[in-house]
Amino acid sequence: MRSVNLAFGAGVALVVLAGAMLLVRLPDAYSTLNDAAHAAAGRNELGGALATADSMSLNDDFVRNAFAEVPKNARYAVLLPRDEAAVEQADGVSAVTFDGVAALFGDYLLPRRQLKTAAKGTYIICFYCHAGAWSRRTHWLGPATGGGRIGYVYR
Amino acid sequence: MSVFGVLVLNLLFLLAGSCVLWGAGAWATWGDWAWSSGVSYMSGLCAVSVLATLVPIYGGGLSAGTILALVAGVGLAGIVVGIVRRRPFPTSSAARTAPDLVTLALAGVTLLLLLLFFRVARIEPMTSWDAWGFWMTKAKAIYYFGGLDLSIFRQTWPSYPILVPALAAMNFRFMGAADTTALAVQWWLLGAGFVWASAGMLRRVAPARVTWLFLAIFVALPQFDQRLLERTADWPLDLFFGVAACALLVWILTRETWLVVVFCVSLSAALETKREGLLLAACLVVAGLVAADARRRSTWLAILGAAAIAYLPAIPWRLWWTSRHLPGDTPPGGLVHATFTNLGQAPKAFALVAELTFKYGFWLGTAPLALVAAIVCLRASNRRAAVFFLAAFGLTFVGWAWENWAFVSEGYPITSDPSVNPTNRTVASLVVLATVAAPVLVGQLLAQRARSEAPEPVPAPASP
Repeated sequence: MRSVNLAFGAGVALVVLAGAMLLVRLPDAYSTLNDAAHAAAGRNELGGALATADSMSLNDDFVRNAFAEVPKNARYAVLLPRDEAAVEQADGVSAVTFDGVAALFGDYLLPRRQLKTAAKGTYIICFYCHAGAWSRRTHWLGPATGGGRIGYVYR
Repeated sequence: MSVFGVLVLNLLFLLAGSCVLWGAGAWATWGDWAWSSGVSYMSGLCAVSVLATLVPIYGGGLSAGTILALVAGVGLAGIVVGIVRRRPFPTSSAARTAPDLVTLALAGVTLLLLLLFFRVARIEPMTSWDAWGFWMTKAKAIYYFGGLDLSIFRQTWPSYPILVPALAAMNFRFMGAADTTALAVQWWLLGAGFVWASAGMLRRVAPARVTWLFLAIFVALPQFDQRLLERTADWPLDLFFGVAACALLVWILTRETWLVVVFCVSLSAALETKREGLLLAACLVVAGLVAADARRRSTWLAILGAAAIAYLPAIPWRLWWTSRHLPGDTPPGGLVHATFTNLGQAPKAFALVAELTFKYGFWLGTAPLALVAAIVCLRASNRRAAVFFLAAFGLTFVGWAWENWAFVSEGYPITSDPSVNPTNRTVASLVVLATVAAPVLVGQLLAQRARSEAPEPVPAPASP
């Protein structure tokens, strides 16, 4: 009988604790979800690509240009600088941005296909790349924006 | 328009699952259907999504026609089984029991939180690295190109199973666009579906008030609110695991056959969602055998048989990536070698899993409460639920620690930093397990007073 009372008492105590836990958490849960809804409003430009670009410290106009200039059935390569560390120091670009830029375009630009290297008839998304080396066979589509530039390799 | 497409697809999941569960004998009246419709929805989603993974593996595209054929196939299979087993055509319920005010209030709080969450799900863009880094890239590749485009799948963790990309690709088809923002509604539906399904299954073995108390806490979990909508496979894996664990637990207590079907399809979905699904499935199967008396032929036949069937759809995927010699992401020297070579890291790994599982700021106190309830329940005459929970929790806990020490490397250190170690996400499975077990365990404790005045009752459906 005593163990029965102990078990029942434990059950009641656990319910009280769980109820208190819920009551204490509810205001925070409400404000977390409310804040998230307000923060998310109006951030869906280009299918959310700009929100991701912001989280990666990528320039919005650079991402917009990539969407505008690379046709949906085209192929492209993302080109990065040879010496990323130097650019990180000189222009304050983080290593995380360099790590993620190809994957970001690889996802958001689909169905455009990403290549490892650019070739004739493909596009270049140049992010702090050595643009001079490509200029002789690339038609640049607009000026550099936020370290990024879009080009078309014509030969 | 995109959100409408998601909702239509999910209604089809509900339809297919309802047919399957009618065939399995889960419901015979429309009232029963209403209570078990969450289970139907999750079962339909799991069954259709698991079959959908086979289509791109064999080179096909997930067109609208293919998806409708899969839904129809799953639904018809359920209907045929129902006719063969002579299930009665559903009738209207004779008796209706109104839920009490406390239950209604707790269910109302849960619903309110879910509705607030829906406001976020409708508009929140995808920003999680893993989501745009590979999960959604694979989904878009299936949607745009059909099959499994090797140029993309080779680059994006090729050995990871493809249920999440296939589910997302089906959503894209019904949206008419690869709208990853609206896709968050699918993840929200998975969360809501888990709550709905758990309530439907637990009403047979736990008091409704306690069930809704723990479900309300689940929806308010800080990590649930912050991470559910990431559009990665972490939360779907945990939710499928949670449905499988709940179905197995209730089956152990009631031995209703249809629960084995739910266990089988949700376990299959877990296996097809992430590689870690295999570890979670093994933990559930062993815990089930320990708790349900493995000496009985019906026990091992049901649990091992369902687990074997659940694993079958994973075989084509394994054949696909191994036959193309894609890397399997195993530690150098193989798993067994790494397990013993890195054994010195085990204490650190256990400490990390314990720290992250019981971190109140992440998961509140669900797991400790369930553990205390289970330990006290071990003194009761019917301790099957406690044994099942403690075995499943203990094995899963060891499993996550093992993953840490066996895979430890410079790129995968044992640390609570979520950018290099996934343990803060993987331990969600332990919290989900505690969420579905706690109402049963606490309910058993509360029933002790009544039992002291009456003979030991057998588990029976609780009032809704």
